[in-house]
Amino acid sequence: MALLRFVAIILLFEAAIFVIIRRWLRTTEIIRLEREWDERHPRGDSEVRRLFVQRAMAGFERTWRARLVWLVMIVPLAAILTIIYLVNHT
Amino acid sequence: MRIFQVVIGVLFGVAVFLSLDYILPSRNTVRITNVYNQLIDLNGTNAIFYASPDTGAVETSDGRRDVRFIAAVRPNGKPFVYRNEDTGLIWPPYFKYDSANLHAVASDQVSTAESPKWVSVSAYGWRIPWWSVYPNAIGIRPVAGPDVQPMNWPAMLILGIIGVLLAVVWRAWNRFIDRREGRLVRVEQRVPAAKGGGVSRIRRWWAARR
Repeated sequence: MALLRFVAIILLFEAAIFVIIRRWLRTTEIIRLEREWDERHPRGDSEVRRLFVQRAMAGFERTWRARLVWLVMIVPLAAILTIIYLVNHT
Repeated sequence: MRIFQVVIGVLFGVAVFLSLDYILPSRNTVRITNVYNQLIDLNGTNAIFYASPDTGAVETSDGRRDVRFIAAVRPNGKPFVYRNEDTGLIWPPYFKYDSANLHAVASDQVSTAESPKWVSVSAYGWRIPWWSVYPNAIGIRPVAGPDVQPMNWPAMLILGIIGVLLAVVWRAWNRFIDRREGRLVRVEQRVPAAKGGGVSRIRRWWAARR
C-alpha cells in the first residue's frame, strides 16, 4: 500500500537525521566537557576526566537540548498529518 | 567569470521562483460552469504535469487516463479549467486523495451566467492552454460574490516557514565561516580571535553598520 510505504520511507529518513543530530550534539557536548576539565585541571588525569564526562553526560540526557531532538521525529509527521487533514477533510 | 556567476545566479533565482509559483497553492474566485471526465493521452511532453501513475489513477496500456476536469469562468469573463486528480504521495506534497469528493462539491456548485454561484478554488499548478496543462484543484468553498478574494494564508504560511529555515541556515553557515576563519587568523598571526562582528564578509559589513 502506497501510503504505508510512504510513511515507512519518511520514518526511515527521520530516524537517519535523528541519529546524525544526536551523535553530533553528544560529541560537541563531550568535547566541551573535556575542555572544561582540562582548563580546571591543567595536569590532567584521563581516568577521572572520563568519569567526569560520563556523569555530566547522564545529566545532559535530561536537558531540553537533548530532548528537543525528538522533534525531528515528530514535526514532519505532524506536518504531513495536518496537510492531509486540511486538504482532504475540511 | 563574474558574468558567468551572475547568469547562473539569475537562472537559479528564476528557477526557484517558478517552482514556488507552481507548487504553492493559489486561490481564485471563479464560477463553475461544468464538471466532466475526459480521456487524456499521457504520452506527450506534458505528462509530467499530471499525477504520477502510482496514485491509483488507472491508465490504459497505451498511456491514456480518464481525468476529472472542472471548467470555470473568472469574474472578468475569461475561461479557466482545472483538473481534479489525486496527487502523488511525495511531490508536490499535497497528499490529496479526495478528488471524487471534490468532484461532488464542484458539481454541486455548477451555475449559469444568469444566476451565478461564486466559489473560491484553491489549486496549485499552471494553466498552459497550448500544452494542455491544467492546475490541480485542491479545495472549493462558496463565497458571497465575484469580488470576494479570501486570503491565501496557506501559501503565506509556507513562505514564512521557508524564510525562517533560510534564516537559520544562513546564520549557521555564517557562524561556521566565522569559526573557521577565526582559527586560520589565530594560527597565522598568533593573535586572539577577531573581535566585534567576526570575520565573515557579511558579519563585518553588519558590524560596521551598527
